[in-house]
Order: sequence, then C-alpha cells, then structure tokens
Amino acid sequence: MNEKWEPIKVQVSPVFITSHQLSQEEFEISFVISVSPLGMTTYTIRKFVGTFQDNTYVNR
Amino acid sequence: MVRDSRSIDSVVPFTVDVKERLDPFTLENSYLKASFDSNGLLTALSHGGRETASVAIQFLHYGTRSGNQAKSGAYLFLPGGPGRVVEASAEENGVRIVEGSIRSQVVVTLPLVVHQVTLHRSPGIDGVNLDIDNLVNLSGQSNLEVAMRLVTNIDSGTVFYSDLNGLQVIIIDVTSDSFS
Repeated sequence: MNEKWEPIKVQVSPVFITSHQLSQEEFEISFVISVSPLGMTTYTIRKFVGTFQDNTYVNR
Repeated sequence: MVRDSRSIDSVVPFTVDVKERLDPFTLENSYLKASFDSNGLLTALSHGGRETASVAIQFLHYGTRSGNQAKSGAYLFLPGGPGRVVEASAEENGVRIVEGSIRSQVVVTLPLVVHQVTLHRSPGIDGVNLDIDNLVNLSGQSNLEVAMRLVTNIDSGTVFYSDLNGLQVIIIDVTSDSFS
C-alpha cells in the first residue's frame, strides 16, 4: 500500500534456498512506483487475509 | 515460472515447470527483447523490434604471467595467455527462469560464477536496459581471473565506450594486447 493506504499491484517471486529448493517462508516482491529525485516514500506490506486466488492485487 | 534441470517442489502460489532440455527462449518488455540460447546465455538484443544486435555472452578464465614477470592484481590485468572459454552446459549447470509481470530473471550457475540477467517491465529508465549481475566466488583460487565477454556484431573499430563508475563514461581502446 502506498502512503494514502491505496493498494498497489505487486509481483511475488520465489526465493531459492538452494539451486533446486524454494523457500516456504521467504518471498521477494516487486512493484512499480515513481519516486522523485532524492525523494522518499513509505510503502506498507500487509498480509492478505483470504486465499491467493481472492487476492486481486497480485499482478499475475 | 521456474525451469531447472532437476526437480523442484512447488510452493504455493508458484507454478514450477521443470525441463530436461531447455529450448532457446526470449524475455521481452515494450522496449526490449532479449534472446537466450539453450544454455540460458544471452544471444541477441533488439530494441522495440527495429534493430537486432547479436550479443553473445561468454565467460572466460585467465591465468597470469609466469616466472618473475609482474602478475595480475587488483589494478593490473596481466594474463599469461588467451583466456579459456568456460563451457556453459545447461544440463550440468542448471538454469532457472523466473517469469513475472514486473520482473523476469534468468539465473545460470556456471563454474565460479552465478550469472543473473533481469528484465524489468517498467515504464521508467529501468525498463530500457537489461540488468546483468555476476556473483563471483574465487575463494580457493589463485592467479585466476574470470571475465565476461560480449561477442557482438557491433562494429566500432578498436574503440568502445563503457561506464566507468555509474556517473562517467570512459573510452576504451582495445588495441592493447591485454585484450587479445
């Protein structure tokens, strides 16, 4: 969520523990935003309540 | 989302596709199309579908000069001879491809190097280039240099322009025999 508490689209990527094992606990997220030069903005990560399929904020 | 030559247990919500043999593939966004060979290494780059440059990536190992001659160090590259091209075999090394709507990444594990190429789907400046990261582990090695070579069809004579420090551009003249 951005500073106005508006949800933004994210990509969730797997984290590899070894070359052929994915972490069950650790994930990497990516989202596209614009920050002004030398600017700073706060984003908040919140756990989605519900199933992954219900989560429309994930950019699939 | 992921391809590897060995089996991987999938973790919700990712779908894992394990391939015994990797076919050449491409990653693209609205600015760039990057083509990769069956070993997961870059072969060509095209800009907005207009121009295609063949850009093949190779990794090489260089030794240093023998006897009493000055050896390579932190600042000097003084190889003992031509570099030895590292064979990039997907079956042996394993290639992981993570594809997503914002960020797609190819990770090739080579001897001494983990080579990562990332393409961002971003309307900003990070969408117009490919990110290449090489994690090099030379522990246990001595007098060994690892190089990444770009073999391209771009004819700029003996000169090329390169980033120096993330701020300035440097002109490099490759007539010196260190680059042979």
